[in-house]
Amino acid sequence: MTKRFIITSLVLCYSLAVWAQDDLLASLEAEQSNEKTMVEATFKGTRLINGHTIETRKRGVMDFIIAHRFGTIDGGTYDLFGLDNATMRIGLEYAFSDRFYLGVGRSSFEKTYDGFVKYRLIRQSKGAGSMLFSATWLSTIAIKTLKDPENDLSFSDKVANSHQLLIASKLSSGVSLQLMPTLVHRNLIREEDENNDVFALGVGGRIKLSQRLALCVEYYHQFQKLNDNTTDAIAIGVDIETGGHVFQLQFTNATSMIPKGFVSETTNDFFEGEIHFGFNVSRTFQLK
Amino acid sequence: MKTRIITVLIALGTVGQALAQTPIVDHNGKASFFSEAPMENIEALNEKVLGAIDLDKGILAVSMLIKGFHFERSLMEEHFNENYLESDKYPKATFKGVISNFSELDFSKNGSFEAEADGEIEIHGVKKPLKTMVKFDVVGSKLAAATAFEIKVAEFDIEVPRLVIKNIAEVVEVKASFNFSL
Repeated sequence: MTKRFIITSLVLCYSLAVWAQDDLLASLEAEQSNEKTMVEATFKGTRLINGHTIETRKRGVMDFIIAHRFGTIDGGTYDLFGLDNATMRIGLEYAFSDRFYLGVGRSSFEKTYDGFVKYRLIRQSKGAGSMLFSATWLSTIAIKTLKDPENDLSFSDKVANSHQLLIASKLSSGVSLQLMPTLVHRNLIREEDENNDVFALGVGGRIKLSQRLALCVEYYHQFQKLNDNTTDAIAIGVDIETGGHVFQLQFTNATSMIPKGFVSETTNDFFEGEIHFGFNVSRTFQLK
Repeated sequence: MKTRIITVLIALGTVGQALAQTPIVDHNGKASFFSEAPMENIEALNEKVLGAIDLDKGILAVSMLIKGFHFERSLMEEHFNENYLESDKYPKATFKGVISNFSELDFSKNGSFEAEADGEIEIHGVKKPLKTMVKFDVVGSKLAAATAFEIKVAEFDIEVPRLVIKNIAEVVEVKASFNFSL
């Protein structure tokens, strides 16, 4: 009887000592289980393909972006699937805080200067007080400086604005979705145009194929168009990340790389092969 | 038969009570790591590490959020979470173990002494045994603990692509320190 009691107690003590380690760790982990953490890297970069993502760079980071769109691939070998022609945009962007992001750029297409303000309104988070999605406001201004000798245009006549509410959710570590309600406003439109305001809704997303490779799609549907000849911008591409660079390769029917352009001025039909090959290269520098 | 059940219950109760002693916890422990590679040195610090010691039984536990590590360059931090440690899938790094020379140590007097912690570390969902020396300093009602050890990145299934092999060290130096109130 006594012997059995001792054995029982010893077995109990031993197993409890092993459990104790687990218990101690479990009690610590329980404390952390509900800690609020921000969901980072919904997308690899600040651009989905043509348009912006909800992402901005972190405070003190400068991003230098070079983007090219070659001619349409349906030209065949004569102009090497569009490689003979290219339009480009160079851009310089800076994050004044983790939420506030400013950028300027210049596109060769119609010699257009552009600037944008981007602000992260809501950030997706997990844990206590979690938020299911991120939302970012984007306002851009574009000034066309291509000479137009036939018309006497004032500065404001050359200006177009666009405003977007970008809403995105990182559904899992590999899948992110984004919605982009968009308004494009022109101060002056040509005779053949019908509307100063263009309303569109963009949808897009990315699927990570590996740690550094992702597949992206982007589509902007217009509800009120500039004129009847414009088409909806469609783009499909891949993101390749290598250290401080993000390379984005894409196929799209849009020529312009700024919102007022690709959302409302696209005239190519994607399904007729009027597709541009293009790329964006982003290089970040930590200044602060 | 009845008496035996009662005896076992009493035994359980006694052991249970001994276990119920609350361990001491530091909520603001520090953990850092340093990677020295030909192209660049990478350093990160986590200042919200939870550490606990049970001075009755000589057991230790440490838990930290991977997202708690902060880097000088924000892009490194993003890559650390996204590409290497996959903090969405494996949000924490932990350690649990025993002080193997616990019976020789006296935490009730001022002084400093070395102890050997023997346990299991978990990073990136991979568990590995770990033995490390822990330096304890007792000053009045304060107990400081500090340790340093090295880990091999590859052992924890952390994939480093060949392109950045010169940017990330194969062996990373880890340090941790805690301040407890006795």
